[in-house]
Amino acid sequence: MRQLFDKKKVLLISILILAGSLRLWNLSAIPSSLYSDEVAQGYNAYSILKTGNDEFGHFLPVAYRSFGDWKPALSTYLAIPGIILFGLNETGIRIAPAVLNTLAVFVVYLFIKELLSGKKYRQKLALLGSFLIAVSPWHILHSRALFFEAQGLLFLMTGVLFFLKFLRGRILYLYVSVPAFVLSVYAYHSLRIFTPLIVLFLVISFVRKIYPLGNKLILPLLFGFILVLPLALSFVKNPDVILGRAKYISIFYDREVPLSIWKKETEDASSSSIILTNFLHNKPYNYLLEVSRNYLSHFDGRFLFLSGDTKTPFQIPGMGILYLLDLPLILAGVYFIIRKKETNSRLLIFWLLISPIPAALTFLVPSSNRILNVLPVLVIFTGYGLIQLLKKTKLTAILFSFAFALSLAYFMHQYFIVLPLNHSGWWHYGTKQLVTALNKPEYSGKNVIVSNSLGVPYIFFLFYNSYDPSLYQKEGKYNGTIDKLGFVHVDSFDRYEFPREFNWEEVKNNPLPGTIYVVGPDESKEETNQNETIYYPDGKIAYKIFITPVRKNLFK
Amino acid sequence: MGGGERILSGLLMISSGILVYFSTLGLWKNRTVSLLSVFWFYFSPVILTYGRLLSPIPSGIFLIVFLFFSFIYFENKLFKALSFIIFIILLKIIYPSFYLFNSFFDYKHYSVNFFKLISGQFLFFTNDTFWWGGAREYGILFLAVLPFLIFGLYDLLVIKGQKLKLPLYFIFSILILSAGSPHLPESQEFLLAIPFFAMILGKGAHLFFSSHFSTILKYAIILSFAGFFTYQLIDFTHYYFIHYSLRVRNEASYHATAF
Repeated sequence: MRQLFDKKKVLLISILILAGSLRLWNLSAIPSSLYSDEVAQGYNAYSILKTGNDEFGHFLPVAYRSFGDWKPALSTYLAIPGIILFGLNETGIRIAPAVLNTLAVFVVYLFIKELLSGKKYRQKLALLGSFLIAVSPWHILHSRALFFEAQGLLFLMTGVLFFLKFLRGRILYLYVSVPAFVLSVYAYHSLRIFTPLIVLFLVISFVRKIYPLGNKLILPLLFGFILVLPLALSFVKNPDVILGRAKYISIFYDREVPLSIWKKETEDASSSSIILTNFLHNKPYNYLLEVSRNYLSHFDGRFLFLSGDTKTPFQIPGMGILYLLDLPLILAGVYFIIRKKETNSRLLIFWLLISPIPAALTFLVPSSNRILNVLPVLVIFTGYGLIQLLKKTKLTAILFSFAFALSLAYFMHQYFIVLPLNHSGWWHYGTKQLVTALNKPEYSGKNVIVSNSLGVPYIFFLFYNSYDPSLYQKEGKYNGTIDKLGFVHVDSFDRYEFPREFNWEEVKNNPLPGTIYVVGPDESKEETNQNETIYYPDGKIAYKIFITPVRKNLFK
Repeated sequence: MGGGERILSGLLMISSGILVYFSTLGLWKNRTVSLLSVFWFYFSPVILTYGRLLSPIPSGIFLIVFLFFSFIYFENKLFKALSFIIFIILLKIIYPSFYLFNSFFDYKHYSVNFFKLISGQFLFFTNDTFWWGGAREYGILFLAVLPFLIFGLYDLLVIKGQKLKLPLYFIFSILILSAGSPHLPESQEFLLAIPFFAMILGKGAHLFFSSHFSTILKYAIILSFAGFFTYQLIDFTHYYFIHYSLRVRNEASYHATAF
């Protein structure tokens, strides 16, 4: 017995070492560069560390404006210790998610054990589940970058884990569960819908166990209320703190549904009565269809197993967010769990079904980041399916192990070799090199004008220059106009300018003297006389730098 | 009279419905399930559209339902094999464009096609297998039937007896073959699975109606879905007679002038 226990412990430690290696190894170089959202979080963490304010000068925000997408602030705060230890660089800001998401593998282990308490195979499934999440391409992708979702998921799982522990009789666990649930709401937009739904389900499902506790619940609930207060107060003060992102990516903001209704109403004009037209071509019905379509798109096999999320940077070239091998195992898992009416199967099915709801309300679908919260359930289904199939023969076990090893090898090749080499542009490769190049002595003192085709370049200049946040909060100039996706625009700071309207074809004929221009390769295809070129690792051009002489027009 | 040549399609679809009724009756021995299956069959967007078109689909559907019928009613294995051979020969004659008769599988796109054919987008929202002439703004099923499809699939998965799962095997076989079509998305082979979807929907609806949960809740859900289904049916009919014909006319004129 003692020996068996040790064997399991060794297995668990091995899984955690594997998880840590896959998440921590070469963190500064893979993904090849920092994505704009990572840089924004990193710089705001640095700004809060130095001044207590975000880049816009708001004191200890619970969500901050950033590019106009109102980022939840939790992962930004969590990045601060890494920045103190390693500095404002790739390792400094990615270390927190990598470590926390290694810890998540252990939480999954505990979570499954708790979820299936009393079952003989729970230890086996918990080990299998923690292994599956340790090697999950989807989880690894989100662990090796400073994003919000995976850290939110960690707090959500912790919340459910300790809630289940609390149900077994110790109210003390509620003091961990409640803050964990609240922190998940601070961590990510979609969890502001998902977490309350899960909590509601848990309370309704276990009301008979909770109700008799009566007054004992007041203190933990009060604790939760106090923790959620800053978010609530910030929301009352400025609704954008919660709704700022939602209103620009929601399907109700998108014009597609109203336009399709208008088109059909126009076609109806001569042939149908107004009553019939209004009855059939109306917003509630069309929005219901749109939400349903978006919802179901997250169960599309092409998205899950073949092409993955096609929106950068959440894509792994040549594969889906799950292994193709997971498909039969998930199906088998769902089938057996329902058929055998396993403990907490209702919770798992409910979790699975509500996961795509927040994403379904947006028009950017399918979205791997907004439904990351479904991952623990899929891992449990996969593990359960595998256990059931392995019962059949030893040959099945050998075949599955072999296929799994091949899948993992393929993922590692795609993620660690192909992605940084051939798709570094997805991760804004070249921005660091650009900032470094412009800091050379020969360029000092010259104004820099950066083309608007480069997305949100200002944040890279702030980040890679470790620009003094207190100085930036005073001198940063913003354009008050918000674009169609809700993005604000930074016009300039220090010697850098980021014109909102920039046409290289016009500028190159009449450039400002003594100025540095940074343009993308697509807008300057014909020019080969640039002073400096920044290349992607595959040899393609990332940015071109042109310097105009003090008086003479270089381009004529 | 225009459209005389289309009567055959209509008759074939009506006959297929009758075969669906007797096949399901022979298979599951339950009149309610059979009636529900025929209901879902006749009110599927595909059947409503193709029943009014001169196309190989109605003949193909009739043939495959007849094959299914023979599998249910004829116990003799030799006779079953003979039915299958006759089915293939007849399918070749009346459905020569079926890709299996023309080319070989395109493995390159197989998995993409496979998942496309079972995606929510294709099943409930966009049937793009006949881009110019089809009702591509709708899927091959109405969204309102989704809960019954889930119930039906579950019922067939847990039911004991391989023969009772036959509609599921037919869908799966058609899926396996259709996904290999090099013509996808402009490939209509998967539409042959519609009768079997109708059978599963019949089974699912029956399971739902006979389930044990609270009567009030059950009737509230049934009424909601009945209302939603009726609404979708009216919407589809309106679309078919007003918007679809306009679109086909407009696109046909564009087609004529542009090329």
